[in-house]
Amino acid sequence: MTKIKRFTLIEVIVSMTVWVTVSVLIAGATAAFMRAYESSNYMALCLTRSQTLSRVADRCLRNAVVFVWNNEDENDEEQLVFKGEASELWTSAQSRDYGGSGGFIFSRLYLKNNTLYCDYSFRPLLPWLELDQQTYRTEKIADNVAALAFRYYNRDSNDELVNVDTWDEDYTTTIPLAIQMEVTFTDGTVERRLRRTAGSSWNSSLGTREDSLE
Amino acid sequence: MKRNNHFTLIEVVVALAILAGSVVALTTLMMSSQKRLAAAWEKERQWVMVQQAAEYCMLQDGDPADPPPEVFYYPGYHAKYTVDTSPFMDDNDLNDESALYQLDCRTIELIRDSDGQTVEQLKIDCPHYDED
Repeated sequence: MTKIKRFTLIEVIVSMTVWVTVSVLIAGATAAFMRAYESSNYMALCLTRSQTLSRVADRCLRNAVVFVWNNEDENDEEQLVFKGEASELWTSAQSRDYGGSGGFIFSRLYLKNNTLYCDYSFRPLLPWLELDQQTYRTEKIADNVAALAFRYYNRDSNDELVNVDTWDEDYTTTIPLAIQMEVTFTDGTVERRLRRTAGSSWNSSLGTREDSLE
Repeated sequence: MKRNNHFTLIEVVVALAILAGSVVALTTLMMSSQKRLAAAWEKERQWVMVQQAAEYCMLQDGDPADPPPEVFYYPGYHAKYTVDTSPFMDDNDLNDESALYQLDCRTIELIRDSDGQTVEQLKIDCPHYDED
């Protein structure tokens, strides 16, 4: 007679206990792993975009200088290569010379389709000329940007520090003492970068200094 | 005689223990990495905040006013400015009336509201200009 070998109740209970314990352990560890992974990804994204914005601010805002170029449409009059609008900024900035690049970088920061872009060139990028007539490169700075806003700081006739959201178009001889770039992301976070333009502090700045904001 | 080649209970338990140990080790590694990333992110944020406060401080003369919310809005933190004589100025410098400028030291502190701790600090020496 053949004897059928079955598991005993004790064996079944022990094996199920081991199986459940291991499953719970693995499931818990996997969930913790996924949470940590997603959190790490998010923090890495925040860190990267924060450092990228700082890099752009240091390069385009901190080193911004007064730079003029002849405007052929205006009888070759010298015109400031700077345009400060509420959500778009054209600057000329000093830059390290990378083998003949010229020591200046000309840039335009703007928002398009929820993406912050920087057009840049080592030759003057002129705000009064159509873009398709100029040569430049474009770098994507940040994704998922809901809004971009600039603020321009200067001193008024009473020597008080004031700020405006558009740099006066009629005032064409100098640039602001400081510029702030404010980037609002679609997840609600806001990053601000205030930078004094080259050499600017309370008492000094490069280029012409006049009171521009009455 | 036919021999059934099955795993023994010990083999199964050992294999599961190895699997669980690997998963736990991997998770521990990931959580440790997350903690270090969080610390790096916190440090980056604090540095951005103190830099923001410093830029606004350096735009002002005399005793600098606190940064306004459009410049410095970081819930849980505030910035504090203090102006003192620079440690590089000795008594001879301070009494030298022919000196064009005296040197101030501006301290920019980033203070965490929850415990009042200064988490980041910058000291910047700059000329002191007489407002007259």
